[in-house]
Amino acid sequence: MDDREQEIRKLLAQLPGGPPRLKNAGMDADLRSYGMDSLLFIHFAVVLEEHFSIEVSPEFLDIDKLYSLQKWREYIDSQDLVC
Amino acid sequence: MLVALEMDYYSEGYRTMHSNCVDLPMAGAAGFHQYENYFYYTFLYAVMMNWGEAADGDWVASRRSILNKLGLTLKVTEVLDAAGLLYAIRMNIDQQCPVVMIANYNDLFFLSQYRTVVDDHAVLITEYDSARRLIVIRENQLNKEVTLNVMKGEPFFKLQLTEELIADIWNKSNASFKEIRNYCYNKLFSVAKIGEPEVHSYLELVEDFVESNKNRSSHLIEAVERFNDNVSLMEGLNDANAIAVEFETMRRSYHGSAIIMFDIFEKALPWLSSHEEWGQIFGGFRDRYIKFRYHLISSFHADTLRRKLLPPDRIFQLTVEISQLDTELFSLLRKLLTHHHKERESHNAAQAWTNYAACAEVSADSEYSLDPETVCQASQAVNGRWENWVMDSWHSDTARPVHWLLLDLLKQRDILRVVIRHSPAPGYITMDYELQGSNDTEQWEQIAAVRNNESVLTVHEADGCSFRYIRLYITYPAQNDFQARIYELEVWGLPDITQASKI
Repeated sequence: MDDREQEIRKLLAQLPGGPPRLKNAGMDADLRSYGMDSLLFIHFAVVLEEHFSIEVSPEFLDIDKLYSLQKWREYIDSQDLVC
Repeated sequence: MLVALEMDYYSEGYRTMHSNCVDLPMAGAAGFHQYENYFYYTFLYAVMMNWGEAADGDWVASRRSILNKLGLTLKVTEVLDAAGLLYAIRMNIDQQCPVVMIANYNDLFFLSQYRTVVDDHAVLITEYDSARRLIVIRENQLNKEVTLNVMKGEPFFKLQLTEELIADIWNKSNASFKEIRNYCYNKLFSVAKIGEPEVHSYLELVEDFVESNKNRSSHLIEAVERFNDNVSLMEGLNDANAIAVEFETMRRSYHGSAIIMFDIFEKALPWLSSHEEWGQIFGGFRDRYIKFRYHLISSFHADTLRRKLLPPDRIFQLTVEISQLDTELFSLLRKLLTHHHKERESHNAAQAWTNYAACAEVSADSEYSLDPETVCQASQAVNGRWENWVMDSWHSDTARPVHWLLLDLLKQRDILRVVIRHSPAPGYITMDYELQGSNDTEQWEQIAAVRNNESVLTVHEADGCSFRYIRLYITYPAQNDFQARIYELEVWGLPDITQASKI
């Protein structure tokens, strides 16, 4: 597990209002099956934005697209390339 | 004694995320009186959220306006204490009125997820057992972890509580309602039948929706225009969860409601799923409409958390997009409804057609005999069957290429269509023929002429020509031999219209 992955997992675990089982989700796990709903997803997106200094574009504010930590990891990495 | 109102569980219904936890039980109560009422109510509520006229914040009046369309009303019973509550529950159930009791989530001890929520929830009550002092409620959040994976809706499972527990819930909730929700303080609601419904079908519901709302502006536009004000208001809400509650309401009002509306459109037009062209157009638009709203609300939620205001040109652009999508929605629905009625008229007309050949006297130039007792007679071409060539078809002899089959319709008939079922075997399909009409068997008029036919079924529109005799005149019976093979000859027309027009 590299630093970025650790950071993403830590932010998820600290997410207020998230169900406790959410912190057990693996990188490829579908977060929806760990209790993440669309509202919590938006909150998580904004927390990640602040931490990684990115802005998630409207079409990616969609839990169907960024449904796992791995998907988030790939999205954040792609924003590095854009910068 | 157990008194129970039997109602469906609505496992094929909707979820709280599509509507809300008060109006879904209300829909269930309406559904007790007639199964489809659940769906009608949720649709009408969804429409009210998007285009409805404000009932000046009057909760009871706005629900009554929906229920009245279903021939129902929201009955309000004044309740002052626990004894009065239990009496009112029994009285309403005895009168065939399912009870809707509003309670605070955090007073509903039976689900752990309710304990931290400060909001109102409707408890649907449909049974009581006076001997055992029990009340049965219908709770659509029970076993949600399981039902979400296997059911479309959140079914109203039964939960049996003692009268004391129900009274305790009501006492606690009611005390807080005095300050914050006066509309339900000291009140118990129930859904009663008061007359005949205005709505009789999904189709009527959708037609009324189009007519009533086609020129109205959606409340979503107002929400977009107010967005910056709301961001400022939410500055005070530092708790992301409190902001989430606001957007949960917005998502239900504009995104969840759209899912319900499109579901009802499909119920009104059930042929859509199997119609290639319209099905694709409808499905594509539905996905675009719903996705637009999903992304819009997600962006608003994120922008609120980001404390980011929308520039005026972006607000204007969004309001234009919402209006355009709504214009497209009403335009598409009008086209679909027009198509539906056109098809239904055509279907009804086809149903009324009659096959004159079924009663005709039939003759032919020749009939093929397998043996003296087995003859492929001319009459077999009008017997209404075409499965068995020996029993159900006319076969001519094989001596020459020209053959004819003649139908005497017994009197002059206005003919709309002639259908010929040829041999299903390749190489034996009737190749060249003329379809002719006459009123004296001397002078023949051509109805259709066919060359090099390759179809096993040929349909000839006759456009109302009027004949007593119909002749199929075959000049090239088959690719492989000289034998004509006709499995069925149908002559269709409208007897009632013909008679009426002749009068």
